[in-house]
Amino acid sequence: MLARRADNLPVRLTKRMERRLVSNARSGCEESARKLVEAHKDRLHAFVWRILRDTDESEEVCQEAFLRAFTSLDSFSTQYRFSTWLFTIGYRLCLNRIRRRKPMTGGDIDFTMVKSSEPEAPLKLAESEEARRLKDKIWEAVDKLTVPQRSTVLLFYREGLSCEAIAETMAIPLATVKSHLHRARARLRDSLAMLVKDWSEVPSLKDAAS
Amino acid sequence: MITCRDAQHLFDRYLDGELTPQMQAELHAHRLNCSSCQMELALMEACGDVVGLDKREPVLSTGFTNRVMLAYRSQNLRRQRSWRRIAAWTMVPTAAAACLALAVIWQMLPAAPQADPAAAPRMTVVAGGAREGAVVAVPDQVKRILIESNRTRLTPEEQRELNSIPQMSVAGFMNSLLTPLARQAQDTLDHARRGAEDLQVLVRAGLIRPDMKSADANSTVQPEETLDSDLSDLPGAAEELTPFLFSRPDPARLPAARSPEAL
Repeated sequence: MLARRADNLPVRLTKRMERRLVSNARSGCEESARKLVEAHKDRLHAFVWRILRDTDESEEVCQEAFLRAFTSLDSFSTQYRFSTWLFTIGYRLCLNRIRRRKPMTGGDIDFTMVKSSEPEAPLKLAESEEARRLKDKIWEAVDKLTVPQRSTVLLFYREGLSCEAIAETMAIPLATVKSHLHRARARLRDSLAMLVKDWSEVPSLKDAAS
Repeated sequence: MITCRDAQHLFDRYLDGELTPQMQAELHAHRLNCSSCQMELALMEACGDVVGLDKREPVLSTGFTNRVMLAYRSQNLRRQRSWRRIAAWTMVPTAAAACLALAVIWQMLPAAPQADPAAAPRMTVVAGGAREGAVVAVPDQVKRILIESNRTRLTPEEQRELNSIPQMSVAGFMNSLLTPLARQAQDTLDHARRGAEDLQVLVRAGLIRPDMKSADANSTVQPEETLDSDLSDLPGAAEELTPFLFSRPDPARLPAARSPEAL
C-alpha cells in the first residue's frame, strides 16, 4: 500500500505553527509572511504547474496566489489551514487561466528540459530507463484527465489531503471529490492497461516509483 | 471468499483508505489467489506512488520569495496611500459640513428666557419635586383645558415662554394652582370672623341697632335669613350674634355698656 504522504517532501508546518505565523503576518510581521511563502511555495508551484503545464504561467499564478492570500489575511479564519486556503486560491487562478486559453495536450511536454529538485534524480533516471519511460506514461495519462480529476488526484496523492480537505479546497461536495477520484483511477487503469503489455512489469514500475 | 467483481468494487474504497479491517482482510485474501486483481490493484498503487513521489517539476526561479514580498509591500503602500487620499477627500468636507450644521443648529436654538425681577412670579411650586419658588410651565393637558374653558389665547411670547421652561407633573401643578386659592379662602374667613367680632363689639356698645335696614330701601332684608346664610358657617359667631342682630336683645344678656371713647 502506497504512502499517501511522501517521506522526502519538505517538512510541513504544523497547524499550530502555521496559525502563529498567520497571526504575526496579520499584525504586519514581514518575517512571518516570508516564512509562510518559503514553507508553501514549492508545493504550490508543483501543484499549479501540473495543472497548467507552463513554467512562466505557473510562477505568475503562484505569486498572485500568495499576494491574494496576504491581502485578505484579515478575513481569513484561523480555524482552517492556511495551506488549504492557499491551494484554493491557486486552484481557482488556474481555472481562470485555463478558461482563457486552449488546453495543452500531454504529448507537448518535454520532460528532458524539466529540472528536478532532487540532486540524485539524473542518476536515478539513468539507472532505470524503463522505469522512467513508464513514469512518463503515467504522467501522460494523468495529463489527459480533466482539470478537476487531475487536481483531485494531485491533491490526494501529492499533498496527502483527505477527501474532505479536497472538497474544501476545490469548493465542491465530498461525493463529487470521490467521483472525480474514482473516475480518474478508472481512466488511468484503461490508459495504462493498453501500455502495459505484461503485467509482470508492474512490480518493477512500483519499485521504480518508490 | 469474495469474487473478482466484488473485489473490483472494493478497489476505490481500499485506495481511499476507507475499508474496514474485516473487508481489507477479505480483499487481501482474494488478491493472493487472483493474479488479475493483484496486478490491477498493483498498477493503481504504482500510479499513486508516481504521482505522489515523482518530483519532476520545474523549480521556482531564484528570488521568488523576494519578489512576492516586494509586491506585497508595494501593494500595502498603494492601499495606505489610497486610504489617505480617500480620507482627505471625504473626511475634510464631512467635518466642514458637520461644523456648519452645528452652527446652524446653535443659531436655531431658542434663547433662554430673561428673568425679570420686577415681574410678579406667575406661580409657585409647593410640591412635586421641584424646589420651592422655581418657575415651571403648565402641563400641556391642563393648559389646554384651561385655555379652552376660559377661551383665552396665549400670546406668542407667552407660548414661547411656556415651551422654553421645563414641564411639571399634573399633581404638582394642581397643588401650585390650588394653594393660592386656599390661602385666599383662609384669609377671607379670617377677615369675616374679625368683622363679625367687630360687629359684636359695636352692637354691645350701642352703636349698631339690630333692626337697621339695608342700604337698598326697596329690598327688604330678611336679616335672619340673610345673615343666617352668611354667618351660619362661621364657627362660634352665629350663636353669639344672631340673638343680638335679629331679635330684640335680652337686656339680661347684654354686656356692660362701654363708652364710645373706650372703643
